[in-house]
Amino acid sequence: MTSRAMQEATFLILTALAAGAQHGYGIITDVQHISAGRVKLRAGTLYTALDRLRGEQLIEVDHEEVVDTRLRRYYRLTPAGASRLADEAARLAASAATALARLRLAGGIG
Amino acid sequence: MTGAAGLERGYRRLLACYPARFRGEHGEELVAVLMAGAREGQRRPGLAESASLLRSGLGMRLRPDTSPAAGQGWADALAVFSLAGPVFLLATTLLVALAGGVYSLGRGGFTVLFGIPGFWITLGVQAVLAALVLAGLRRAALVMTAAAGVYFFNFYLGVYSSTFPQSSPEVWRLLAISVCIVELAALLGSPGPRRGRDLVHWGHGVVLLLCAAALASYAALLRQAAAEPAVTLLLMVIAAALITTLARAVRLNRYFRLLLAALACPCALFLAYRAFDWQWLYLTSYERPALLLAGPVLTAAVAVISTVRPRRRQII
Repeated sequence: MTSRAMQEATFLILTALAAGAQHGYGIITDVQHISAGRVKLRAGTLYTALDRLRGEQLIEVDHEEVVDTRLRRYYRLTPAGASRLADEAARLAASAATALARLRLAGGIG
Repeated sequence: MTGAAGLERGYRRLLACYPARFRGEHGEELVAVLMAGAREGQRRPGLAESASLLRSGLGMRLRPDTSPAAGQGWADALAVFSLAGPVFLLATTLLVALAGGVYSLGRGGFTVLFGIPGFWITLGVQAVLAALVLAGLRRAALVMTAAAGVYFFNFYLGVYSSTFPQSSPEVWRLLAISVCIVELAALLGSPGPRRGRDLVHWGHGVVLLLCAAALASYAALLRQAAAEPAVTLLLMVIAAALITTLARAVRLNRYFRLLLAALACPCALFLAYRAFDWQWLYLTSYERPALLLAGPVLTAAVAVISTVRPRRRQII
């Protein structure tokens, strides 16, 4: 039995953190950039996901700072999170490669 | 500046729909992110953002909390019980009364029941206790639970037989005392119903409602003269197996499941005694409840000792 497929928002959040530690607003803008503007995470959705991912020990707090009296907490991937993201990326890449190969065979794309 | 202050107030109001544990951990950074993402001159939270916060917050309250901070020990199980126990007892009493009343509707079931002062006293005691825990008043609830326990025990022994029919289901009377015993342990050994409010989720509600429904069904079955005790026992065993499976599926804290099992102990013993006509349960009026209630008493004692011991170690 393989692990369950990851939701797109979770995949994009982990991808955003793969480059290094980021705070909440940074993750939102990065996810928008990674998805070419297609996915715009809402703050409520992001923090629900961050809370869950911390619970699953896929991410952890890197450090905190206060900017203009506001708390900024930076999150980073844990080794387990990096491994889970790598597995998911490989799975998606394999599925995408299969889809493209079949389309090529059917003459759908060049 | 006033607009920004109003906007922040609006966001903080919306954050109230999240569990306290989440607000404590992420509230400030979430407000910071919301303020950073606000439009220039925005004075109120937008409709889509508000809907998203409400959906996420309420969704989080309804789902079992799997974060490390949620805790899965005795203290948290007792905290949830301190809130849910009295509400469960009140719901069970209402369902048992409803089941009995509906069955004897043609013979003035409800009129007979509602005309008995003892019914209203029992209901009143349980409603006050439920209101106290829902309001988070731990000490008042502790006093009320002790008083209610004494009242229900005397009621069980038949002290108030002139004000309440002794035909009221014995399992229900045992449950009322059992809930009071476990509730005392819950209020003594945990941070209390306020902490319970942060941990309780829909799974507790569904499981407890099914327990209450099973007990009400049993009460209705008892009134069926043709109902075989062995068949009744079998039906209750099936109901218990289904409820146990559901409790595991919705990931109820295993200590909370133990507390529910402790409540079921007197009922199970009583049902088995009826089905198999166990001679050893023909005891004196005090020995019999002492034996039947041993499960909840022992569980309550273990729970309190387990929660008090770690705290003492920390002090040392």
